[in-house]
Amino acid sequence: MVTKKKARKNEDFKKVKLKVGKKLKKTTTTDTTIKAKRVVLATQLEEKVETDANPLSFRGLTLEELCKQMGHFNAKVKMNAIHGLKQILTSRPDLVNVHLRLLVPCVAVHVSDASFEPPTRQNLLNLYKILCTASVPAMSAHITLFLAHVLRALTNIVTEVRHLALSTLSILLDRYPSLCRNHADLFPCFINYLGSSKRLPWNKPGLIDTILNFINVYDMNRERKVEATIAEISFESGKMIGNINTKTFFTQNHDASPFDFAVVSSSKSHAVSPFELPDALLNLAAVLAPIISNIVLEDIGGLFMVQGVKLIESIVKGAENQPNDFLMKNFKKQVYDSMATVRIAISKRQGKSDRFKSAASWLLSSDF
Amino acid sequence: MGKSMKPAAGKADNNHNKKGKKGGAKNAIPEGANSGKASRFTMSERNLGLMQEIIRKDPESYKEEFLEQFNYFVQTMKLLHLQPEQSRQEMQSLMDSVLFLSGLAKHYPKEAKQFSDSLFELLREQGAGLDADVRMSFCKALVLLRNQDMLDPIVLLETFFELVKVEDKALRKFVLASISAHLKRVYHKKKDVKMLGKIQNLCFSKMKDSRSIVARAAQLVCIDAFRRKFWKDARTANVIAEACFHKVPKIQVTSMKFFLGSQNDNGEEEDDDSAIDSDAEDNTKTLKEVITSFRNVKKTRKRAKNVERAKKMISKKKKAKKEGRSKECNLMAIQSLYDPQEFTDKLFGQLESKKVDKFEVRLFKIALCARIIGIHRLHTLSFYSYLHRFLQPKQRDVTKILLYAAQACHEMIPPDTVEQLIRVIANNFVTDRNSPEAMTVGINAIREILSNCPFAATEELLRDLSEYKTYKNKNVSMAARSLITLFRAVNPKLLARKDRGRPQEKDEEEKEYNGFARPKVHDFVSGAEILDEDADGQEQGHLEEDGEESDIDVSDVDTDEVDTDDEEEDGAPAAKKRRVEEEAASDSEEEEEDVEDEEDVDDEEEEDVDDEEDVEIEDEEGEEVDDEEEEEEDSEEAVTAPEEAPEDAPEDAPEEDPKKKATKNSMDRILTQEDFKNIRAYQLKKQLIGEKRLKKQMGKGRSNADERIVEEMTEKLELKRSSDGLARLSDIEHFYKKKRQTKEERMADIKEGRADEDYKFGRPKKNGPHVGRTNEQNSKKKVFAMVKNKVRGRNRQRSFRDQQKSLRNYLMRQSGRKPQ
Repeated sequence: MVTKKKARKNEDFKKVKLKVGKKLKKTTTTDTTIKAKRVVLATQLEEKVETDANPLSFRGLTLEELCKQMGHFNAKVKMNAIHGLKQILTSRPDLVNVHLRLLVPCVAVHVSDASFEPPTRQNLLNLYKILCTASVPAMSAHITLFLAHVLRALTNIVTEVRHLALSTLSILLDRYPSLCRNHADLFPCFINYLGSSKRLPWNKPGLIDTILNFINVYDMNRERKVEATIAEISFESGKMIGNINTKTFFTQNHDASPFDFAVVSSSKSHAVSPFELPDALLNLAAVLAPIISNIVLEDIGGLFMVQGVKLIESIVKGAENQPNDFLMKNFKKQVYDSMATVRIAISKRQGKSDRFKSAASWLLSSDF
Repeated sequence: MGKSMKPAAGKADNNHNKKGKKGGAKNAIPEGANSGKASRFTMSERNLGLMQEIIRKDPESYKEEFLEQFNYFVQTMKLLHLQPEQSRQEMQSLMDSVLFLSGLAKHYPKEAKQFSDSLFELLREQGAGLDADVRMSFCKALVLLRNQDMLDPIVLLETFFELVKVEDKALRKFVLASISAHLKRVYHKKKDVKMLGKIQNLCFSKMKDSRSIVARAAQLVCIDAFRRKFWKDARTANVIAEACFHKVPKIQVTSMKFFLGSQNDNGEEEDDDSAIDSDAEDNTKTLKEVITSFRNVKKTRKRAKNVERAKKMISKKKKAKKEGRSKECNLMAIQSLYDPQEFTDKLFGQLESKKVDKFEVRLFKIALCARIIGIHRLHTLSFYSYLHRFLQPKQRDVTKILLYAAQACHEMIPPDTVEQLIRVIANNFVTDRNSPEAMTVGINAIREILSNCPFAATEELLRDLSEYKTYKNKNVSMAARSLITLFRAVNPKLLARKDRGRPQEKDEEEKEYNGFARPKVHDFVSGAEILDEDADGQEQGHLEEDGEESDIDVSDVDTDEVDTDDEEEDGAPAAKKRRVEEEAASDSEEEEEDVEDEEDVDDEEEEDVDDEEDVEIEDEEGEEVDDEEEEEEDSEEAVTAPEEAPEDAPEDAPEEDPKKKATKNSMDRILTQEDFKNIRAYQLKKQLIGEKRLKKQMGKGRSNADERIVEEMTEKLELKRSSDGLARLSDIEHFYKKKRQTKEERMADIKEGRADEDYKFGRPKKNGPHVGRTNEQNSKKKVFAMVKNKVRGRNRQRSFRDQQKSLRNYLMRQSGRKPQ
């Protein structure tokens, strides 16, 4: 190994390479030409200053730079970027709300990134958790994109990607139920996922909780109360007849996104829960039935007892209280049929089954 | 989606039940559905291509897997709607799934519909914003679906025409190629005329589109379809002709090029497409054959090289074929114009208007005008005076303009107009002040013009020009001579007395015009005199006699010639003539036999009779020959008494008057296809004789050069009669003496020639005792004295250090220093 210093020292004693046709230099002359080279660095090495609005990660990168690095093709760089983002956002939780517009597009894409290692995925999930600390109004503008990425990842061919998507979805459902409820695709997509053969096994942690979260989002049985008010608006005269305060009418739902404009229609139906649509509920019941029956039959230890009971209850309630059951011919009978496996499972269950029985009393007692 | 998922959900349901029963007690067992299926596709789980294969084998039972991919696709599309710009990596997975789905779509028609709809929607809405690769993969998927008849081709075409707007060269290319491939499919495989018409209408309407790029795409489609005969009709030709007046010059030029072709100016003869095809099929292997044969032999470097060369050759041929199609002048397209006069007037109006085009565009317009005028014999008289201003030797591309002037001249133009044109050319080009090249070109151009309208020639001008036959420059003098030769054939009276050549008997026929606008009126089909007179007789008898008659007639012509022949030359040509006769006779006999075979195969007896008759005919022919020989002897004895010949030859009796006979023939009976065939053969023979006659006209003192001129002339006349009859650039730019080539040109020629042949120079020979041995083995067989020095050199190799040392000493000495 020849160091630079040594090389310089030996310069005078270097062997002259001889080539045919090249003349030897005369020893008496002196070479007077000067060569100068200079490297100009415009911005790269500029000292970055950490300010309140512009914090730096441990490696001295700003938020923008990290977001750019999230789009890098190298998995290592992306991993480092995830670390950096996590670190900045944990140290400065207030930034999440502000920079959501920047963060969501570049981070949400990676739900479906198949090139990650498992630990990186875990990190990514943690990052999502941090992102989900953003307030509901702040997130409301970005939830569509976020959910679109997540739902796409749910249909991905790679198992790990689907698992990550499921966990992410669980977080989102838990944190922003009101926003998720307004997403049109979420319900059918999730049902699809539950129905596919490639979903998470039932006894893996996460699946049942996500389902419960999912049901909670849509289950409006408890809170729903219909207030029918009559109002008459004449657009010609610009007057409104009826005892209605338009201001409260439009700002009734405080969680609602500012982008959702209230629509004045003959009936108040700003959010029809799928639980109120017979065929959606029927699909849900059909998809959940195998999962519930698995819980009933195989969960001897009672680990998932509470959740199972909740699932049964919600479906039974939804079926019993269906306001729109006139839309489908003998709807209740169909729900009943789709839950047949559950009935059989309960009757075969070894161990305590009282709670199941009480929850499914409608299923067991009614007769079609 | 919810509904379509139901069956799948049900299936999953069943699976769970089974598993549930089996492993009832065990809590730890992971849920069945997943693991059970996973084993089935451990291989294909991540590999879409493999999965595609598996699904294709049994689409029904693997529907779930397909639907999963389909869902993925649907979600991705939703995402794309939200966020059109995505990174490349994201897009890769989308492209994979599109490929996968398009390959399997035919098994799931319902999903295929949804699939294609969403592709269409995205392409229409965000076509320009999409990533180029994704766009291309979408288009490919749609084409695949169309080929499986999963979607309406018209909708796809419309989408494609919309996509042409996007600035993406590869996409445009693909779109055009796929449309023409589709047309080919419809035309050849399905023969769906209705669909072809629909597509045609769509393309025509798109040609009127306000966006020029769309119009251009439609135009290219139309041109391609016309050339490849999918829509070879007058309608297409006229729609393309309309595009000559498009506001965008590029489109104008494409249309004009379509009509003109690019090669025709240069005068190279193109073979028919079919001929090229058959040649290619006969002689050379296809690319596939070459590659498969290479696959199955031992790989050597030489073979690999050969394969490479063969590949190159094949692709070259293909390219040449493809280009050749665009090089042809589209005679049919020009002929099928609805209103050529109006078209030309309009085009010429554009030329005359003040608007400044590029010179190239203007040249195209002039060319098209000239070609249409020439082919349709139109009267656009101001066109010729318009050309005057361009006819200067310094003018750019003047030879082309001269050519166009020649092409625009035809018999129906008033002679004074053409005379003016010729005078301008003569004044500007054919003077001693100009370079010999300019003079040659000018005379050639005048010759071409005059060959088209001979009545425009004046005695004075012609005599002036024929003075140049003794000009010191060979090119000029030969050009002048070819002009003289032309007029010897056309109208010798205009020439000076010494130039007229030997006096000729008038040949009455052939000429269409007696003077300008004085067409010769025929009351018979020229050449009908060779046919038999009584058409009532038996079919066979008639045919036989027919053959006989034709022999006789040809011999008539020959005897005519014999009359004027020199004595010395008599022997050889006579023999030749006889050969021609015999050939003709045998030809006609063969024809007869063919006809007979077709007509009455069952009548064997009759055939026997025929054979006998044939023998008889041959005998008769023998007699004929004898007669002729006698005749020739006669003529040797007395050239002045040719009229005695008929007496010697009784078969020649219907000698009365060929014209009368022809009139009678063509009026009394309906000529059959066979008759016309005979007439044509006769006329061809006559032409050959015409060449001889011209040569004879030259007299004894003719040189090789003169003969060449005559040959070229007859060739040209034939060419004119057979094809479009337009002059070629090579006629105008014809120099008797070729210019000396520069070294670069010569090398280029050599290189071009070398690429074709499989050259043998500079490479080891193929046969001999040394073949198949290495050089080392060969050297062992050599005499030691031959290799001695090499062996000696081998063990005397110096080390690097020694070499450097001696080199240093040498260099030192060179630079005037002392060696160390």
